[in-house]
Amino acid sequence: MRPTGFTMTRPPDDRKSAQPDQPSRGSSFLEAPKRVVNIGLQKFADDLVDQGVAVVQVDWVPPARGNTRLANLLSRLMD
Amino acid sequence: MSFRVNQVRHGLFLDSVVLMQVSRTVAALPGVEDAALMMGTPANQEILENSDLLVPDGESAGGGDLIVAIRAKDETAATAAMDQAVLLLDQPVAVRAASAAVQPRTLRSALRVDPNANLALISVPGDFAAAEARKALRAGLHVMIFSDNVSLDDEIALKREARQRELLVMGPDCGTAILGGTPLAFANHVPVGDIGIIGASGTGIQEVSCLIAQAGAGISHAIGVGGRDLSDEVGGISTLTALEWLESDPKTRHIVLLSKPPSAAVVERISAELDHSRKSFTVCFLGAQNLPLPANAVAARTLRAAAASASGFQEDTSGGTGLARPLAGDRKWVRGFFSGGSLAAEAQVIFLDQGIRVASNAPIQGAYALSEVTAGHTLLDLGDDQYTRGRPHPMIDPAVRDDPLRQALHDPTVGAVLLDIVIGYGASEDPAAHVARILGHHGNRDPVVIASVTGTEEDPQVLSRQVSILDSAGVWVRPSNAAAAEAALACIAA
Amino acid sequence: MREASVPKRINAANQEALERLFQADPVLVDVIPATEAIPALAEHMILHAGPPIAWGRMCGPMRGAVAGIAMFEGWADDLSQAEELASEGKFAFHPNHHFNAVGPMTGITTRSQPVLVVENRAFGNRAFCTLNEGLGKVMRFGGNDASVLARLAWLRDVLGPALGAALRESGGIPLKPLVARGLTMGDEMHQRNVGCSSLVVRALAPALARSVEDHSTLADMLAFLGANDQFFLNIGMTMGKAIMDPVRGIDAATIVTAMSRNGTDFGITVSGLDDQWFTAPVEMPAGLYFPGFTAADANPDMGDSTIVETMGLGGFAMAAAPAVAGFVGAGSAAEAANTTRTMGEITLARNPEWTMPSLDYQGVPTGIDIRLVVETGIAPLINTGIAHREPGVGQVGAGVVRAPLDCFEKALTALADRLEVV
Repeated sequence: MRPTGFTMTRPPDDRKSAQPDQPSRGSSFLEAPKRVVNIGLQKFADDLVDQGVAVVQVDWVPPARGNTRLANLLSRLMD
Repeated sequence: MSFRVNQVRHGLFLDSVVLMQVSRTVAALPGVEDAALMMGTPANQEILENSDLLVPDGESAGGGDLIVAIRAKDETAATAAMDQAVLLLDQPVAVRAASAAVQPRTLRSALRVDPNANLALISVPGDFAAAEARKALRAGLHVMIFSDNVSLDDEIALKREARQRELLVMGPDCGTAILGGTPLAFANHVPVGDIGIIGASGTGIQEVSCLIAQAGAGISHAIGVGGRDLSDEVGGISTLTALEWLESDPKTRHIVLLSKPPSAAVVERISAELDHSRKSFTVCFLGAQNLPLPANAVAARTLRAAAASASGFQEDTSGGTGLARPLAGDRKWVRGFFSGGSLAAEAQVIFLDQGIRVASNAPIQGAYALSEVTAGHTLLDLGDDQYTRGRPHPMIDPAVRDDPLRQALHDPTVGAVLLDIVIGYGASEDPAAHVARILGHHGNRDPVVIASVTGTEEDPQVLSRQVSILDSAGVWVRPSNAAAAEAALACIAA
Repeated sequence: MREASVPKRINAANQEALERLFQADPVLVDVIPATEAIPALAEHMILHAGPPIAWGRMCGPMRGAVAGIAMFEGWADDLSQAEELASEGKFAFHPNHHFNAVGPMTGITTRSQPVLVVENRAFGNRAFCTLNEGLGKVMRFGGNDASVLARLAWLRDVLGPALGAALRESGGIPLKPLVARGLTMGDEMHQRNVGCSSLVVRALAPALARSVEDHSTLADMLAFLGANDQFFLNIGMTMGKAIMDPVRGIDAATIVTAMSRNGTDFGITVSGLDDQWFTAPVEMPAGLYFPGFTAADANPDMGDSTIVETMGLGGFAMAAAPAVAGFVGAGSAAEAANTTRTMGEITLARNPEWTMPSLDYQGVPTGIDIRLVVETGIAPLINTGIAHREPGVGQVGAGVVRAPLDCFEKALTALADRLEVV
């Protein structure tokens, strides 16, 4: 069943009267030094290394060697 | 007649595994039938005896001595092998280059390496991307999903979960982000400034950010939300989060929204959101007309117009008319081959705004689908799903464009070829050189090849270098994708 | 909905399992006749390494060992009569593991043989294993001639009782600190045991001297012990069994409690699946061979010694024993360290008491989780000796071998069924 409609959660106050430009958790992340886990194309990690960004490259392989039945079981057995 | 030779090295102890390795090397030498290096204990001497390797010289060895025993087809081979063996024993142990430490195999073990990671960048095949993204969200990381071919249901579930956890999902199919000055995946090195971008398209973000840079302004943060975020089904969850973040970001003065046109319902909701903001906006829903926008938002029909609106520069829409070459004789058609979806869309907008009909595999409103026409101008998005199932994206592998380009160059009905060259991080080392190679000696011949380079001087490929290479190959290089499309139109009109 | 709590149940169960594992206090306390240690060990009953297997499927060395032990115990007059009796079903074959025991290679355990006794003082359980016979032509490689049987008799009549007396007199040897020391000496307790073997002999020598009156007998014993770098292997294995047995049978736990091979099948047991075996064909070891031998001579993988890897030693502790790195790829010390790191991907914990100097005293990766094995496709790596496939020839090389992934996939499916997860 495909959900339709816009789900939005918003603080009750009209934002225009709220304090302007207060860093939120989100904008703290935007400004904070990025510490990246790169899962996939090595090139993305290499480029980040070149820029001095902290990155851990994951040597990724399909879970359960690509066996979707086992991968599904795993997703229910692990958090 | 086999020849046996033994040498005893007194007091030389070597680990048995090392000895076995050296034995193997010596046994493989020319003419050698068998070889062994063993300490001279009685038990080992018996083994050597049983292997027909021991001769009286070797029998003199004690338990603390090393016996080198060789049996070869003749004396010459045996002596040569013994010399080699001695060399192997005597050379200082070369410090073997330490292999790189193993990379972690899962997100879980990656987080043991860096427990403070705050962003997962995911580019595994689409079938697996959602599961990886879910794990990352549950570990408290924000997520950027470069992968496409992720199901809509998965996208909705991920974004809802992210929203609950106050995390951001950029993507799926998000090729570009620049956060706090850090380019991620396919992105350009642009100056930091006070203009934020929220984009449903990677190359759209790239073109707008580079044109803003060209104008001397800068980007606070460019947040990619993925191509489907503003669909009715997803309802703009990531766009909403991005708007909230940029609203409370002190560095951001003005925000550019980029997308292909959403439904009227979504436009209305976005508009309502903008109305609540204290900041100013430029809204570019490529090709959209008559957008209902609040007072603090301005509409831009093209990427170039969006960049101009945000940074205050004046657009030059003259299309280099003076330089345009008229299309010769039967060469009627323009063939555009784009690696960036938004760049293909922008070109279509420019054509349609001039009343010129055009077809595409990813047609905007008012353009034809390829299947609907047998002849005419075509502007193709080579990064579209139909081309990328099981094939690399043209931004990753420029060779995807080679055959279509070659065909067009040799097609007598083609008058102009349009190309986008996107540089920056993630892009190949020298996209301009690749195109120049395909063009070969085409030079100034027909069809005319028109291109733009999306990038900056600070990009690894260096904008001016790329322009110069294309120039030398006979390409007519324009300062933006929009200008390139206008140049093609100028050739038609001339 | 119950299913939502399954990962939490599993995590809690694994937590319990790891606590039991790390709380273990294994002490080498005695050497006694097997029939005293295992009262169920009747006449004509033969315990072997690995999961259950019938005579018809046994490999060459194991058949050779069975025939030899039948003569040793007086159940047959010669080897061919022994084989006939075996094929007629006259012997009852059972895994060592079913009787709190383990054995290296063929792992043959019968009533008269002396067995090491390790007591896990934290839980009161005991584990048993025969004494290591030494190198060359021995029963664990399928040897069964007069010299082999004579040595077994000497172990039964001379060395076994003396070791038992010495151990009882000394109050037993706590094994965890000894293993910790061995790890700093280049041992990994599967292929490399020379450090621990030396420490044990040193620890026992005074008590042994006091319990053996005849000097020449004592000299023979010390010579025997001193010549056998692998003497500790059997002690380490017994310790492993004593440590892992209390970890069995914890509902929903996904930690491996045993890995074992009989030369034909590789089997694992998992805590949350009690004593059920999950088997697949053993793989062929890859390694280096002694002079005169090649891979064509190798027997498939065999022995209960993988109990060592099950508790984080052996291949898992390869970083502590770079000397055996020669079997892994090009064999640099860095590759040995990488092997240990990779095993860290499939384990849940690091043992704080068993640490490796070369990895900045990081603990050995412990607690193999079948979920991690299946997820990553990384199979446990085992350091192993390689036997000749003909009975009685002995060790022909050493190398590495993997536990078959199939075992873990089967176990995962069974556990999901048990937890009613589809």
